[in-house]
Amino acid sequence: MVFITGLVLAVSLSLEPKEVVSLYLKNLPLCFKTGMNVFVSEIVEEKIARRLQIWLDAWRFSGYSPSAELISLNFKEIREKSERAVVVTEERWKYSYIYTDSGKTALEPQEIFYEIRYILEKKEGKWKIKEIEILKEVKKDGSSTEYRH
Amino acid sequence: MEVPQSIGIERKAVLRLLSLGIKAFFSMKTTLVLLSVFAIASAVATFIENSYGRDAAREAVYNTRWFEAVITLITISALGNIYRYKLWRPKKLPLFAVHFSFLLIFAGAALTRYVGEEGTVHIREGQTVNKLVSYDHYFHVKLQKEGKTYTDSKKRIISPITKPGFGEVFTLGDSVVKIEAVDYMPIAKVEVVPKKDGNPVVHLVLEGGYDVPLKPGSVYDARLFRFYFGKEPPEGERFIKVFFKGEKPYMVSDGVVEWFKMNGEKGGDIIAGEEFPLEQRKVYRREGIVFIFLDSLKEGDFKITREKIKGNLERHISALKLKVNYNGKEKVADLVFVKEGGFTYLPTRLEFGDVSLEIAYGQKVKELPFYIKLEDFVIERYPGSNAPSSYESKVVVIDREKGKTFPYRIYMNHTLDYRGYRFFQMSYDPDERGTILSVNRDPGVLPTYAGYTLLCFSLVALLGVRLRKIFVLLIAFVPMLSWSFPTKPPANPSEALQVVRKIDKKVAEEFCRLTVQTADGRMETLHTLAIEIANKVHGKPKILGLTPCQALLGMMALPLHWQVLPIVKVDHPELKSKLGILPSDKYFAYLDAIAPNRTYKLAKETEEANRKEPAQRTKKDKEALKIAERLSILFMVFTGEIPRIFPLEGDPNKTWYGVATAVTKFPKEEVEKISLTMRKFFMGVLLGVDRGDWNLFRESLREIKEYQKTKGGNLVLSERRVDMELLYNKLNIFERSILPFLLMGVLFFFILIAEAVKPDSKKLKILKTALASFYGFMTFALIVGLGLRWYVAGHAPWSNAYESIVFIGASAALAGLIFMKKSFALLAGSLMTGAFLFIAHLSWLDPQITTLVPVLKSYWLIFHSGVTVASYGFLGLSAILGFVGLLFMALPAGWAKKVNFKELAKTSEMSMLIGFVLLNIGNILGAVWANESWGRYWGWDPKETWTLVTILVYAVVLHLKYTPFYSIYNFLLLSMFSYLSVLMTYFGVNFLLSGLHSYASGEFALPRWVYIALSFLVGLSALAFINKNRVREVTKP
Repeated sequence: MVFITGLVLAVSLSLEPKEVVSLYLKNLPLCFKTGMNVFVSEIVEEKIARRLQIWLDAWRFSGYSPSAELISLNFKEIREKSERAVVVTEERWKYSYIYTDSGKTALEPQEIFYEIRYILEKKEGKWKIKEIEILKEVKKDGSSTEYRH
Repeated sequence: MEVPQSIGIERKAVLRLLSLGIKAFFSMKTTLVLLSVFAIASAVATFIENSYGRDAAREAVYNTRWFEAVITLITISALGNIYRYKLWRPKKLPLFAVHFSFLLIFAGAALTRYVGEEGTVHIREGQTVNKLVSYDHYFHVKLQKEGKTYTDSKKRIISPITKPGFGEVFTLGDSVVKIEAVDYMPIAKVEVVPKKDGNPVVHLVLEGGYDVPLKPGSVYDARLFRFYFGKEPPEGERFIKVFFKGEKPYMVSDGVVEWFKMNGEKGGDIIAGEEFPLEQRKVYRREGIVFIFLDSLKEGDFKITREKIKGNLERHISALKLKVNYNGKEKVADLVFVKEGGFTYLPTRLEFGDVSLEIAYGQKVKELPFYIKLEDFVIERYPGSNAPSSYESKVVVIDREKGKTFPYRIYMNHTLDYRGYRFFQMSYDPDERGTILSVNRDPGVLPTYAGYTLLCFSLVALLGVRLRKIFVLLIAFVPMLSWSFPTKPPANPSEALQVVRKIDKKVAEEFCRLTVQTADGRMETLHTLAIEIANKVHGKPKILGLTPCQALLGMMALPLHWQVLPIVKVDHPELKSKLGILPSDKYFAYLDAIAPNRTYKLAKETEEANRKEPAQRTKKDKEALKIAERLSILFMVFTGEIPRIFPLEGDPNKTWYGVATAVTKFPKEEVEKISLTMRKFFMGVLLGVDRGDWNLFRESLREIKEYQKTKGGNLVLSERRVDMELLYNKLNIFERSILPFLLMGVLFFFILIAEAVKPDSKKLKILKTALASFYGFMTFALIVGLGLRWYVAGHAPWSNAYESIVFIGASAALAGLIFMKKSFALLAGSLMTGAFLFIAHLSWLDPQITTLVPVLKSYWLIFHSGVTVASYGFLGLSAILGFVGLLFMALPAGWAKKVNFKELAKTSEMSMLIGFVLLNIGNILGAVWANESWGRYWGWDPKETWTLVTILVYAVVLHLKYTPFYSIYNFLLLSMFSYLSVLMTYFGVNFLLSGLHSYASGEFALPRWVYIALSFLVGLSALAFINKNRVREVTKP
């Protein structure tokens, strides 16, 4: 565990905002797989890591294993001003949920498109994700949700 | 004329047969058989409960008609025996009272079972309620016909061992509804599936994997609030209502609900009254209770599948497939239910033409004739830890009928009694803002208590008649035990060794007089902590020839030196090899455990052991975990986390901290003070070690003491208390008494044999007298030791496994002294005491003094536990006498013939009788304690059930002499083996079964020596059986 945290910490030391978001999205499925937020905890603010852990625990302790696959990723906007950065992405994810004990499907796989805004802040020379906001969510069945923030 | 004559003969024959039947029924043999059936059934039930839960034991034994019949027959038999043996005669009055008291107790028990009601009341702060939720579960049926609604409920136990095939019949108006369970799934899994013309269904999951399958009309209790679906929550209810708006499921709550998304997105709060769509992949949380919305359908149903998990039902979903018959028309329906976790109502609806039928299984809500409002719920904790010290509910009783309103405080051992209802503090909400009260209305308490009182007095009177002289002594002794004390809580290894040995012993003792706070919040001296650390880490109090105080001071001030010294105990060849030490080494150094890359060498082994279920851990796993604990203790000492000697002024939990935390957490000015003192402390030790000058160190000690007095207030131990604790530690009476008592046992044994050969030897008599005097002295020492422990701990010394085993040992020693005129008493007393003291000091029992849990904070503890544990001593003496008797019987006839078996059996019986009386009284006091603490005087808890089994076993043995089965051999044999029931009550329940009295949770397997010992006893009994006819007085005396 210490090793993993150390690795993420070491890798994240010299990352740019875009790379931090990429690393976060790359490691998120690992968090789902293991039920632990340590794979992203060094590149997000504590409150985000905490919320993520609440979400992970809820599924894990209820007997479900969520899995996620990032099908496509597009950086729509990257703005950086002194110690603050905004990154807007277009992400397409495929999610599925299985019963941990039997391995059977609990919720059928579903593809969802998201437009997400990441707000990053530089602290002690290191970029960290401070806030994540979903701007738009479109499911494969066509139903979409616009979020007003 | 012939006909009447024949009738007369027949009548005579019938009457004679009846008379024989009555005689047989009211015979001692029948009574003993019934008592044995009662004992065996109760014992079996405890194992059923352990495997399948309390409801299974109730269903299989306690609540069955046959069990009730056995109890009824025993009652009738007791009544018959009163008549048969004319127990009302003045001479037999105590016996009459004993038997009559059982009648009262059984009558009380019957009233409790058939008339009383029990349940729980859950109230949040500020909430007013007048409803209780029953403990019992019922089938509820609601019929709607021609605009009218008919309801009925029937009590039924469903447990994991329930077999399908059972049914119930309900008469609702002029309709008859029959239900029959054709299949039963103790643990089921639900899944939403589409169904044409089906009902709206919603599947939520509570964190922990508890399914919440909602159909129209459902109520699911999530403890702090209830889910409602297709039903309006009543006024004042804390709820989350789920409903459909179009095709989408929504929820609305009376409180704030947070939601979280999968990527740590900020989520949000749903305010009270806001309608919010339920969405998949989101996680919701209200007041700490987390739930997931899994699935829903506007037209669907739940597909139910069987889960193959064994064990208790807990809050898992169970399901029944019911065949429902309404006025001859039949339908099959699934019914899901939840057994635990508050009021949950998950109905299944069926339509029979115009008639609508609703069936559910669950608890019942009953109305109280008054309201209770929770003003405040308060938890007090032990200083320095989160362990609850006590908790209480500040309530207001509002009785509109009687026009009364009054405040009341309900806490452990302090109940609210009002209008026949008794409320007890049972539990509380995780956020500590709500209370759970247990409530009962029990008309059986009065006759039961009357029976208990009569039984206590009559047993003591009975004992008085039988043991006139001893009785006087006993009466004098028991109160003395209970009342004598106040109950208020009152570079290289060899170089390193050279250096650490320079720590002055006297200075270290001065250091050990400091007050320290333990992890569980208890205040003790550093001396005690030093011994505990040495015992845990090294397995002995002395480390490398140093006292525990020298060692602890050295570890604190010279950590680098101590890290290279081989002081950590290890007892596994594979782990030794991993640590890089020789197979013959018993200890390793702290640094031996750290690999060159600074990782822990046993990390993998520890992790593997941690992952395993406790019952599946191997010896290596257990040792790996123990080593991890030892190293962690050392780490904390080296880094200054312990000892916790610095109080933080104004800390709400009155926590004390180690120097490491103190210099980081305390206010700046305090940090400066502590840093200065600790600099003197460390420099002082260095100066002392280097030049033998301990003045600076002593100055630092004075400063620490002053700091403790100023900031720690009344938590600092008084000088007298420190003196007593040090004396207790130094004397180490209990451990040091093991060998003398065992040796005395051996010597008494040889003296007994020698006396058989040379009965008039004066030398033997002198030796015996000297040994008996020493025995008396050692017994006195044990009592002094118990007194010291009482004073030091601030509570009676029988609150945990270690203390009560020591207490049994002391009682056995005293029992030996009481019967010392009998030739075998001191022999048996010595062996028994030595054995119990030895057991108490085996590694799996922790002699550490700990704080008490709230329920033990009662004066009933002193009576109940003390008297019960004392009884074990007397019963133990009786068992040892049985063993000694069988041993002599097994010896060659020439030896055995010289033994007075009659006297031996009589002594054993006397001791057994005293033990039996004490056990009865202890059990009764326990029932009173339970009633005051938990609201029920009898709950079939494994410990109380096994106490009852023990009482029944000894009742049978003591009554044996009134039957033809009696012989001295049989009596000795039974007195020895009956003690197994005591051992089961004492050890078996705690280590093999679960329950209120358990110290461990089933992770204990019987050691091999137990089987060897049992085989030996069986072998001995067989040998004695072969010889029994060759010795005198083996038959009825």
